[in-house]
Amino acid sequence: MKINSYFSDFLSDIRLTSSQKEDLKRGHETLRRRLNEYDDLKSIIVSTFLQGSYRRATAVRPLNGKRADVDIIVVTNLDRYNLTPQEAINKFIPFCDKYYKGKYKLQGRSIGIELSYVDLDIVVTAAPSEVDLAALKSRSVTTDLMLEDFGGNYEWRLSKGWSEPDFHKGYVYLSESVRSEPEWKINPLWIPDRDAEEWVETHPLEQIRWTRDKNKNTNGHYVNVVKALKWWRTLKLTNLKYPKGYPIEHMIGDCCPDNITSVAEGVCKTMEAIIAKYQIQHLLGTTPVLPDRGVPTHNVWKRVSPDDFAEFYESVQEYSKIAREAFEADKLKTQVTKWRELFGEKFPPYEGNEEEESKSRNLTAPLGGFTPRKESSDVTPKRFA
Amino acid sequence: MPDREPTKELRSARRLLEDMPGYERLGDFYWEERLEKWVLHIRMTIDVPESEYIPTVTEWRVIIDPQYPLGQICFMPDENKGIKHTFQHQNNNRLLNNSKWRSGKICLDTGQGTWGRKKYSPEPVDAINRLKWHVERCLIWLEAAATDTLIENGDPFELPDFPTSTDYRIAFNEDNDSFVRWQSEQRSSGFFNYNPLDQQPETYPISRFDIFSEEVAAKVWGSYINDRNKYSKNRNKEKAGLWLMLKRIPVMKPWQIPYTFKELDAVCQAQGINLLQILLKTYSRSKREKIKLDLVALGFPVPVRIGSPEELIHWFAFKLILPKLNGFRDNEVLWKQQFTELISGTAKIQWIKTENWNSMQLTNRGRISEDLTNSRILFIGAGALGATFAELFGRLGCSNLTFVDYDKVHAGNLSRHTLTLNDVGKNKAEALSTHINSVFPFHRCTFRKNGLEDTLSKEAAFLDGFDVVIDATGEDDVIQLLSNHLSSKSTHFISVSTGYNADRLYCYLATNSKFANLKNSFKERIDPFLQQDITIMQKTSEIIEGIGCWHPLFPARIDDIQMLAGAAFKIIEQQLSRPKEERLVVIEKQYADGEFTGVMIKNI
Repeated sequence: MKINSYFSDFLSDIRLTSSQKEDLKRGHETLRRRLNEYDDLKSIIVSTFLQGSYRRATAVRPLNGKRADVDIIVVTNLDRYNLTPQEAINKFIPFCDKYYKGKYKLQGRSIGIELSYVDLDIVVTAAPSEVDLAALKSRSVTTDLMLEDFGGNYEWRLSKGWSEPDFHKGYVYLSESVRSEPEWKINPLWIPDRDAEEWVETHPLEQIRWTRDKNKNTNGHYVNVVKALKWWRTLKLTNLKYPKGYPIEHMIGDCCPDNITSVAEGVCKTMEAIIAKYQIQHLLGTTPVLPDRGVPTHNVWKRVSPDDFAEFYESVQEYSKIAREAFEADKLKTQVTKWRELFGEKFPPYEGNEEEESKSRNLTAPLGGFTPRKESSDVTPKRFA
Repeated sequence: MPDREPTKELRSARRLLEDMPGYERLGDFYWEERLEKWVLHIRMTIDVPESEYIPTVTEWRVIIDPQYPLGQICFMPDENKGIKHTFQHQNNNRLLNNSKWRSGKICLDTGQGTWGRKKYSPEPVDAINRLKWHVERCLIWLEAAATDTLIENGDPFELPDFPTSTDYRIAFNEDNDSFVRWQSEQRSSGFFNYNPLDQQPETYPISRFDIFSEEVAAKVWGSYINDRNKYSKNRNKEKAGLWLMLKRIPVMKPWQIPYTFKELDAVCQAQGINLLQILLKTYSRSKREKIKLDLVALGFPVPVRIGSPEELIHWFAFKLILPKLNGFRDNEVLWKQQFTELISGTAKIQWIKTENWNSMQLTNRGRISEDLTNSRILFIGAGALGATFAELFGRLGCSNLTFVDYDKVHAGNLSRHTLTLNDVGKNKAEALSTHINSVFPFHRCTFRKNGLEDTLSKEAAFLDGFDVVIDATGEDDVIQLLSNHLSSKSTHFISVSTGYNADRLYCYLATNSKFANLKNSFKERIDPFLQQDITIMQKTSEIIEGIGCWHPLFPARIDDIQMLAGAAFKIIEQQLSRPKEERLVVIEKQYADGEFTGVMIKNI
């Protein structure tokens, strides 16, 4: 697939930049360090770990000067039977006042911190079950590497013996013993919903694990298909407020076929699968229900109105035709031009010479070298030293 | 590190390749930590039928500098699916430990000194096209290799690349004359001697082959090597080796040096040479004559260009290390057993670098015509000007320079002399002679530690031994002396000197003249210029050498001296090959509005 190199360059340009990643790292490391050192919180914090699109490697570069964001789960030993969501959140307010005064606001299920260079989202959880404590403190949970940071022969696993690869070594691979370790079955975590005044379940680790498996089944293309389609959505559906972010990722997860052999194929077939799968909902004017991974009672698409869904669905219809044309075009130049209709300027342009394309090499062309030259060519001046 | 990303330039160059017929990418750029370079794994498919050594489909690892489009681009055969043989225009192609590629980098560059062609298509330097150009060249290379057209008649003959395991080298001296000698030689094997030069890494010039007469042996090398053999602390370290003359270059097809003795034996068998028999016979003789052999040198005739007749002998050399065997006495039975084991086994040959240090080989980058290199040239005066011209003559291949000077080297001379602190306190003529001898191994410069007058009083016919006499003293007395003594009809006479501040260089040239009138004809041409200089000198204060002495110096900077001497050399070279009437050439720096604009040359 000649188009693959165009896709990998496009993806390099829509991923978080290395400086954005540095900023996120600085932001969450500082926050986690402060939390662990804060006297009044020390005794209640069990563990902190990263979740969200950053961790799953499905985050795209924010547009128009927006800041990148990262979600931090703070696992506490607070008893959800004795504390209301508001009381639980209140325990963190002195901390936020001390370090992030004027920069934070309380959201429905989290505390949002806006720094000049990065947004942090603190999600507080109630006490997990005793059996999950060791797992939640393990390196495999608290690592700050994202799924994309592991090469093909090293994978992230939710298990006791797992540790990060040593990138200074020539070859990194996961030891056989860790590979064969059974993975922890962790229960969902409980987070405070202040608006509903109740504790609700969430299961970020299951989302990460699911993404890892899906990525494996799609030859490592899945997270890139997600990024490409999220980019398309941000770029082309500018008037649509919802769905965005995780709900889109979730739908792609449900629709992206396994065993795809390229991102191009993944994008084209995922769009077509969305059209086929939700045809009924579109006809009936309803919004599909997508149960959350790990907490099936949650509907990920709960917030999306039927009108928004219809608009989203019709855009997918419109663009999936272009994706199909791009995917099936003979000429690389046509493929590139079509894909640029979906993904815009970030998708690299075709720079080849059209006349040369599909013309086979002319062996008598004056390239010089191993056979005497039949015709003269310009000799360029050269400096000798 | 996981964060390292190929640059935009690399990515666009690689995208441009996607449409190339015959090219297929097998993965994306990956970072090779050990080399700190990017690697691209590619597959090449050629349009010509499969041949014995080149399959239609081959895989390559392209190693690219992170600074692309700067830096090198290397095409290495893939460890599993790359080409497995060694061709012309390719480095020795063997498997490497812990590597995804073989060592056989192919030569695609068009620099001079790679495969220099009469014309070549310029390599693009821009980011987008440079990689594509290399990939196209790789396909052309493969097709040429598959159709056996990598080299053609008229191409310069190129030796195969071979891996040497040592950092020392063996130097030999072979030219057309010695080729004729070897051709008429009946014997095909024997002994040779070689001596270390005391320097690091060590070089061992072959000092003589046992077929040489004393007379021939004495002429193999110039003073640098001969003097070291005579006086150095290594003179007792002479070593011996075994030489063996082959019929042609010992290579395996297509163009690979044998790695093992077994392979070498097969190559010799193909030439009808029984390696075991020859080695055993010569080795037994060395044992009887108590000669310890450390090396084997394989000689073979080579052409200068493909398809032209052979005209030089080249030598390969390897270490002679025999397997240790127990339970034998040191006799024929043991030796036969040792050589048989060596040749039948898989022992790797330890090749040693060899170089032809013949004058024609070493001066390939720039020399003057052969008649001039053989001229006997006398330098009277080994000061800044004499040394500058000596450097030019010496580096251009003139071997027979003689220096006459009574003065010693002072540290203050070094701002415009070619000598160094190592020479301070030595006689200038001797130090300069040693210096020029150390430029090339075939130079035979000599010197006299006295002035010209004293030298002539000891050797009346001294001047008769030269084809060219160069006066670089700036002294009128020397001109006077030469007027009286120069008589040889074939002599060229040249006098070089600079005016005040080296604003001018005066170069007087005369050939086959009646030198009796030299002084007058020289004086009348140069005087008007000297008068001008005097006027300028009176306006400036004198420069003194340093604290503690009051000695007026003649100021002139080395950049001026070298520039003017370079221009004068062109005129001298013409005079020596196509003499003109005696004349004074004045080479003068030019200024306009205080800006330097060049040099002007006037014939007086």
